[in-house]
Amino acid sequence: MKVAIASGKGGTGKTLVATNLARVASRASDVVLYDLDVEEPNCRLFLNTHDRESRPVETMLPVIDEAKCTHCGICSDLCQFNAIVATLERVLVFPDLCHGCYGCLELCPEGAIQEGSKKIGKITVSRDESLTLVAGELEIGEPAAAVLVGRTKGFPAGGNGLRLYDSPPGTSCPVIEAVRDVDYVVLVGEPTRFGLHDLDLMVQTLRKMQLPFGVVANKAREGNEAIEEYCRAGGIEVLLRIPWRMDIAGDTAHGRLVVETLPDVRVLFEDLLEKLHASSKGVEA
Amino acid sequence: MKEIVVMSGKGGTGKTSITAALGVLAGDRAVVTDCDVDAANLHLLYEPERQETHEFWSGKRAVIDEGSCSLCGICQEKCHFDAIEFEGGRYVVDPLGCEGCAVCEQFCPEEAIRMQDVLAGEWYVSRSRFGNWLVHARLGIGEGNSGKLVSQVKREARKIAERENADCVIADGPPGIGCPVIASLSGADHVLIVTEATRSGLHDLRRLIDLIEFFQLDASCVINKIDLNAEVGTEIEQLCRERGIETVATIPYSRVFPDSLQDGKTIVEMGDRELERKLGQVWNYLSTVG
Repeated sequence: MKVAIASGKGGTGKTLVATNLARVASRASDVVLYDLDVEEPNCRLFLNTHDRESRPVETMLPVIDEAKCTHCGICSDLCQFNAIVATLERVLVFPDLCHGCYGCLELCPEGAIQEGSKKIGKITVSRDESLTLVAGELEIGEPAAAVLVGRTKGFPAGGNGLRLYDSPPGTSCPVIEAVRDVDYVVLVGEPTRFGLHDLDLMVQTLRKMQLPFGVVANKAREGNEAIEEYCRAGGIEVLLRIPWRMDIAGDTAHGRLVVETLPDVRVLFEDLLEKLHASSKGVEA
Repeated sequence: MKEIVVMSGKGGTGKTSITAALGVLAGDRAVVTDCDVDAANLHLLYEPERQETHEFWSGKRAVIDEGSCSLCGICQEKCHFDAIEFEGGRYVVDPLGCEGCAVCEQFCPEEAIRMQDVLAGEWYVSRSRFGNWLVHARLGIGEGNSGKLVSQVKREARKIAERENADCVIADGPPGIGCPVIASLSGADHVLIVTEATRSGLHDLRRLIDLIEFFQLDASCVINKIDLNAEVGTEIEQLCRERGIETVATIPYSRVFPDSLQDGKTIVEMGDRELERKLGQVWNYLSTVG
């Protein structure tokens, strides 16, 4: 079962839910946790993983063979992203603008464009007993986060068990790439104006994508049922309510897993896992 | 006229709450803009009166004309973004996967594919309930091109600031270090970092500082939630010192932040004098930079 954890707003507790859920689930079976917040990957800070192995991730970049180029300009006419500009003297390639569509390479009548590459980041795999962490990390100054999200997600990590995807914040392309083709999405919300507004944006996004989802109400303060009310009105399942507590905030700030330090919180996450298994049966049926 | 961009790396550090407060303190000396276009929040506190609404057209998307399609499948074969699916006996474009590269259009032997312009969002010019101008936007659900929309709102905010003789543009940036962050940093005179004293906050701050140095920009820092992990708080102060970034304020973990967000107020309207003093200090510092 593939489950993405997303939120819209940043800092609502996506990584808190992803890492603690992964830890609880890994007690019973193999779990692969994918850190898809490639701009700011944080899962590793909470896990004691070892056997780290990194590999670079590269994307296609056109390389011009000036000897063959006739400066016809077909490549620059085709390129929708202004990544390749043909002048009378030479052809310029702007790596940050290239989306890697291969159009110029395939349509050059002289065969003067070859496939080169540029590094956009790396993927690091590490293990902690039955938990495997696959983390993407974007190169500094590189804009193409969504491409690296896709590559990290597709990285073969073995096992047929639970796969968890810790998604980036926001609602644009990196998030779409992270939640695309998953079986279920856990949305982590917080009961503030910002939290509710961005949760609603994600709900609209997932409805448009026709993906099943439920909500975790995090930082829930006594007497505040804003998330629950929002969900009730929209017919959305509330999977879990995590109270607003200093010990949870403090342990998380120190890079600790609350399912290991706070037994009552562990019970909450065990309950969440059970609910996810139940919804996966619903998905399969 | 200078442009100050507020950044955090990690989300949820208090960036927007602090940006909103600085905008209030600056009054009409600043034009405020929200560069977090795919999860914009500033307008929720400013409750602005919208004066202008503009469509944001950006990029293209392939559309297959079923009538002319001969089902040869070349488009699917040529697409490097897995955006063309074979469903119910016909080829269809997944609008969320299509990058708009037009390669399928080029290769289609039946000329059955055309590229359609995409309405990717809207942007607005508004007047906040404090009287200052706010330029904000809303990216369409599932749309890309957030970087271009960021550039658009920034360009507009600068125009208004020049027209109104304002001292600066204050831009609330998106989290992360990718495309919309890079677009937000482009043309900035100073970066105000709002970080938090947590392990994740520190980790993300390092990457943000690397990016700021990559673009050779000046920066200063506010450390929020300083008491949440005092040891990390000290590490952050040391890191900033080493990288030539002045720490202009440290703020303890405070209920005022979530309380203000619940009430729809800015953090300088909550009656916390000490917090107001600190933010005043940040604004005074920003008046001297750039």
